[in-house]
Amino acid sequence: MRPLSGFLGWLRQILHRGNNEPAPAGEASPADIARRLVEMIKQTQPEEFTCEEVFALLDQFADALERGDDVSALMPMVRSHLEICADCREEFEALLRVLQARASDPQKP
Amino acid sequence: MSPGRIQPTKHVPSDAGRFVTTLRITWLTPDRLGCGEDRLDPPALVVWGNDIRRRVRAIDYNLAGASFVVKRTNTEWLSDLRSTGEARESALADLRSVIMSGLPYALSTWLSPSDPAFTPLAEEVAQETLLRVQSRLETFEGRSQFTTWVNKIAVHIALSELRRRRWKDVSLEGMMEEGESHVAGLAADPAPDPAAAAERSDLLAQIDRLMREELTDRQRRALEAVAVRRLPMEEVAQRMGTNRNALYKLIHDARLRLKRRMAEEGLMPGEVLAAFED
Repeated sequence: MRPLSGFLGWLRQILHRGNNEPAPAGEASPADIARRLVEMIKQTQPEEFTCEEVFALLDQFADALERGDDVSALMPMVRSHLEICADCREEFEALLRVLQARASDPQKP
Repeated sequence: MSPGRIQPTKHVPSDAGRFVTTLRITWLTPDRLGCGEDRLDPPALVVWGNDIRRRVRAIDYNLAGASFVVKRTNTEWLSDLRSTGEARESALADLRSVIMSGLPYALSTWLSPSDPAFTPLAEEVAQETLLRVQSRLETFEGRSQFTTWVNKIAVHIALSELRRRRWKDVSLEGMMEEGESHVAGLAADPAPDPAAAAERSDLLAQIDRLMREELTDRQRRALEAVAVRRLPMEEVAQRMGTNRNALYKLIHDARLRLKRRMAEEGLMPGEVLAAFED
């Protein structure tokens, strides 16, 4: 598992990413693909949350993160799932953008 | 704070480059008026030195034309949505505004609000979200802000639809062939030097062999589609006649088998990764 700073770096990347990045499918170099596959295997844990289990906790996870809580300590299994599952990660990133917009404008509902 | 105070008008640039203008007006009312009839937040009670009790009232007008959204606590959202008549209608209208105002941010990396497809999609998502929220109200556990929970559902519906649209005309069959592995074919990769190229080639062949020996055909196809080809889980699931959750379990089991087998064969993931560093 990556250290906390890695996780924060990842979040920063998410939060400051522009509009130009729908991940291309099937166009990575062979080295990228091998890295991706082995990285996934390396991160694999005997027990992992499924997409449904993560979805059930995603609002709580996002709110906690927005409050500045240490979510990787509080919910390590959610975090691990988000690092592996692109679909859930995309949904989490989208939700985080909404919360950020709300936080930057307290008048927003 | 004095009665009738008007706070500075806020101009907030949205992602679309439009300006949303809101105006907050706050004032004080005698305590005995209470709250409720004009649908405002539970006002803060202010007790002045002379023991005159006043309540701070505030109203937000969205001058861009949308009606203002009343801020509610979780309990108030739930009780309004479970009530009938005016309270429920107004809560639903407010919830719709919450969803609609969040979507430009949620979808910013997918669809620009200036795209002609944006507004119809947002309306469809808002409608579907409201239906789902009402039918699943009992499942809200109060562990987050209610609006975060609602936005989570809206995001899920919106991205599912966008993925479906993005991939609907793309045949994944060529990318998910039965019986043939894609990993072995990756060996012809430019590497920093011939020795590294040979090492990479050898590692890829080993991984390919482990995948063929350890995984069922279905597991291998799923893992290659998602991990190697980076296709969306939801699309792959649908085309394999399953759902995203079951596909995740299938791939998790495949990863576990490969991890165990790699360990048995003395292939350390960290060392393999190092061999592919440029």
